[in-house]
Amino acid sequence: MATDTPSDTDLISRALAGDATGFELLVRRHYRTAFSIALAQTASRADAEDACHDAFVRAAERLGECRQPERFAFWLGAIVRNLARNIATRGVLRRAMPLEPQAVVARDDPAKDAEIADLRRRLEAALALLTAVQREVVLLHDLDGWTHADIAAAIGTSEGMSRQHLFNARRRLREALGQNTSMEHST
Amino acid sequence: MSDNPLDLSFLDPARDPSFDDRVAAIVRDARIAAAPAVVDYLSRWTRPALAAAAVIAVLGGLRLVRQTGTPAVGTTAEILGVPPGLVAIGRSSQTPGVVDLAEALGVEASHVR
Repeated sequence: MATDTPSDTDLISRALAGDATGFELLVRRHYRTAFSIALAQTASRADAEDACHDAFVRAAERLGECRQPERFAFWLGAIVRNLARNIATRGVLRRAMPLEPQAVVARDDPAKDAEIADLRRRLEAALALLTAVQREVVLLHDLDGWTHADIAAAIGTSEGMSRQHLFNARRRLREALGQNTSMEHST
Repeated sequence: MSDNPLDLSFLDPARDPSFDDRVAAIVRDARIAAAPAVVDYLSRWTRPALAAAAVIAVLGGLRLVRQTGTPAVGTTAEILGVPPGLVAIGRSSQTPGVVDLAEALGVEASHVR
């Protein structure tokens, strides 16, 4: 069955030919992945966003060097991870300062905005208690829907260890968040 | 303890109202960064320019060979057109006189005097 969704390989070819729309689609498709990896390394939403920005710009510069376009997510992930680590290292002093609540853009429902901002703040604080590997595994799996096989390939471990990291990460997050059922997926 | 997935959608960057602006900023900056540099632009012309230079050199060489025929064979002095008398004087260990030089150059001695 034919599909209208262009592959990563198609989008990379378009971007290399100077098609900004092709590159934009690539960014939208992989932003969540990049953000998950960056947030895992930095434990800071603002730093993760900076890392994503820099990583995508760098990826654009080196797009011709992506030898396996079908594995663009892994290639991008390596760039994001390196940049995010650098940002995290530079940000040690900044993080010694009290964390500012994330600014939330005003929507129609201020009460809902406040609730989301509170949940997000608590979640980010709980994530900060995990190791970088645990954060990366739980974010890629539970936020971005990656399989353990892909996570294992991305972070250089086995599927079994990926499952172990996920289990430990979820347990520590639940302990930190308390019995907050609003963060449980209804499966 | 349940091992169900956690709902981390509150962290989803795509749900952030500023997501579109963030993507636009990336695309804008990436286009600037990905714009071909002057060196890249020039390097694209290197190969055609070298090919054109090679063709010109070959054509020029063929034309020279046709015009001059077989290249002259001889000493450097002969190729440069130095009179044989001057060459003999240069090879001699003796100091040449004015008359010798005049003869070598094919000038009448009376004109020298």
